Amino acid sequence: MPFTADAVAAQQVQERLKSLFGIVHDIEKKRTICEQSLTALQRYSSEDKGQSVQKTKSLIKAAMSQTEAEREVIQKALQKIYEIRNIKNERRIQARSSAANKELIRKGTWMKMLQSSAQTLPLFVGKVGEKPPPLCGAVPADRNYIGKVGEMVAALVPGQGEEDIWILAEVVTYNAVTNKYEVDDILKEQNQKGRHTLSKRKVVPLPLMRADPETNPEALFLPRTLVLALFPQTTCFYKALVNKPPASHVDEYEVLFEDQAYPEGFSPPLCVAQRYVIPCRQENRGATTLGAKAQGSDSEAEEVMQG
Amino acid sequence: MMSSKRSLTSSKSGKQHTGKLKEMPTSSRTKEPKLPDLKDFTNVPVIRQMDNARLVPKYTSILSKTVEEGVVMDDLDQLQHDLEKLLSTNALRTRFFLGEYTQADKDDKKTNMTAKRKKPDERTKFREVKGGIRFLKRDPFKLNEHTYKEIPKISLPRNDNSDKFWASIEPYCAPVSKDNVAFLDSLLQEFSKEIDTKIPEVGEHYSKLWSDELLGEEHSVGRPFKKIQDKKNGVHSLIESFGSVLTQRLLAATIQDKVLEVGESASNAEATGSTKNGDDCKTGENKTNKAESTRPKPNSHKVGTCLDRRLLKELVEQGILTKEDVQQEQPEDELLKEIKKCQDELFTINEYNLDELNKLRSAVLNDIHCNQLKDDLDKVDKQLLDLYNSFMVAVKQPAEGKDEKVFTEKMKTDFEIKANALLRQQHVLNREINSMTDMSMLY
Repeated sequence: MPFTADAVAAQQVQERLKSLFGIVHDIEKKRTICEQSLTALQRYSSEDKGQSVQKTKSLIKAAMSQTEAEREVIQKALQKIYEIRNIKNERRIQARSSAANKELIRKGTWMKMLQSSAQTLPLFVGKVGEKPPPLCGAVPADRNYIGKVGEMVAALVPGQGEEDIWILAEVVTYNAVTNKYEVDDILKEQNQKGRHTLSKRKVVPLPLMRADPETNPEALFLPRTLVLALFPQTTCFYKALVNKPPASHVDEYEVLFEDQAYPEGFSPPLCVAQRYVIPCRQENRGATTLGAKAQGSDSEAEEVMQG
Repeated sequence: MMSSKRSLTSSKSGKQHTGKLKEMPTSSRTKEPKLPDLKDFTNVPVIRQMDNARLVPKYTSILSKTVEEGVVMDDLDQLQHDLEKLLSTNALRTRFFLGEYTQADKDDKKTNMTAKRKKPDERTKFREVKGGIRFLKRDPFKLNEHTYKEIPKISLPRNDNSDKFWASIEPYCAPVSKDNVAFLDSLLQEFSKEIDTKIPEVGEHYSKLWSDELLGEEHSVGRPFKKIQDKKNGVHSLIESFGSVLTQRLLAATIQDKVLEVGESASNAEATGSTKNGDDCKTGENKTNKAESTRPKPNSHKVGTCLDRRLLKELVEQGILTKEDVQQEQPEDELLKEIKKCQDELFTINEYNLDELNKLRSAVLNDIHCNQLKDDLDKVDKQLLDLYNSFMVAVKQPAEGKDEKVFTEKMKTDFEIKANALLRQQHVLNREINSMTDMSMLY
């Protein structure tokens, strides 16, 4: 068996799958214990009428600590799954950089991949009192956050018409000196013209985690919030109003896209995954012509030099 | 799948709440509270193991697999969702317990209190209702159900806005004092001071100043080539810079023989210079400039004004123009006019301010006097009351033998005289105050 990067990655994945299997069984054990203590508590509270507060308290305490133990082991299992995904993703990025035009993935396949990647984005379930971290659900990134290579972003690029459009893109590099990203359009065939080099404010990183609506609804956009959302079956973001935030961790946002084709100005409700809904900043709309200006002054300087 | 679980929880919890609220007061009154009133553990958020196959199918199928089979990549997505569901339910359970546990804790304390005090329930009720957070304290599960945030302790801030407002108002409502008068006096003094309003003499106009400097430079020895060059090249544009055709012609005539001579000699000297530094960029440029002599140079205007002055001077000396003519040409000093206007305005305003201050001061003095009168009136009122009291006491005093009647009679007249005097005083003061209030109401 050749000792390639792919093989190493495959082995790492296999190891994790194996330990995941063990952890799943651990979870079941913990759940059994949890259920037992819960049953005891329920029986005590319903049958023994002349109970003491102390006894109830200790039973609740026991159930709580067992719930905590269960949580830990579930999170361990999920951690393994995230690790496997990371390994896979890393391989993908490396494969892309080593052989840029290995094969063109069909658009339909891409859409499916985007959908599944949104569904399998890690879920944030906060402990009591824990605040959702940046880039979880609707929580924006830190001001000085730099998107890592291979990370999905929304990028404002010049469109065919006059107006710039927000596209789904992938970070290629970030130049700390010029504060500029190089990003690839997610659809490879769109990259014939070359990569986009964009200033930081034209690139918005997508959430790295989903927020659990049942425990952290504060990390979700409220209804009627103006957002940028990926239009279904496309790779472009458009302005939309949140109609209904997701109700469970598997649900998606229901959004109304701004669409002049409809008499009321909005599309009927469409579903968009948490990952593809980002805050809409008004100042991002107008593109500047700063680049053109800089070029003009450059040529002037050259003329002066020659004269 | 998820929705079925959620609806189960929420519908039951709803039932629980209504029960709880009704039962709470009775439970707090009894010496040994029945906990079933508070706790209903039938709806703890949990996924039972018997529901595994229904709610978490992939997870269940993996559990039934052998070690050899293990988990495969294709299972991952569905397994993740199942695990997330477990985790989410788990987190909800923790929050549920936390609510119940603090509830039990609180109840524990309450029972202790019941044992110690006679009527603790009324107190607690009052306090909770007053705080407006009765529901939060009573029903933490409800809180968790809706917000999932931990807010066990909420203490509403005391609303002391009205106090703050009145505290801020108070200084303005305080009676005027001598300090206020002193302050007004200081203001009056400041405003009535003579202000030094002397406007300095207008100096030389900057263009003249500059042209003087330029003249000095031109006369200095070792003048650079460039200057002469500029001067020479600027001659035509210079002449053109004069407004009227006549002056232009005059200038052209007067300058032609003089300046051009200088220019030629300068260009000769420059030519030798350029042969020395053939590669020098600057001299090369100057050469081209020489060719297109009509091109205006940046400092040609300065030279122009300088020339202008010289010309004027010369014309005056030669008697063509008189000094008055020259002075007439000078524009009127708009700035000085403006400054004077502003000063006048300021004087007027100051006068008005002084006037108002004086009015205010007299009003304040008036008010102070009025206050004094009021104080006096208060004093008189008090004396009158005291008198009345002492009179009543004297009347009620038990009789002491025969003297009783005489004593009372004497006392009575005494009191009457005193009372009359005081009442008269009161009347006078009142009238005085009334006559003054009209004045003070003006301000």
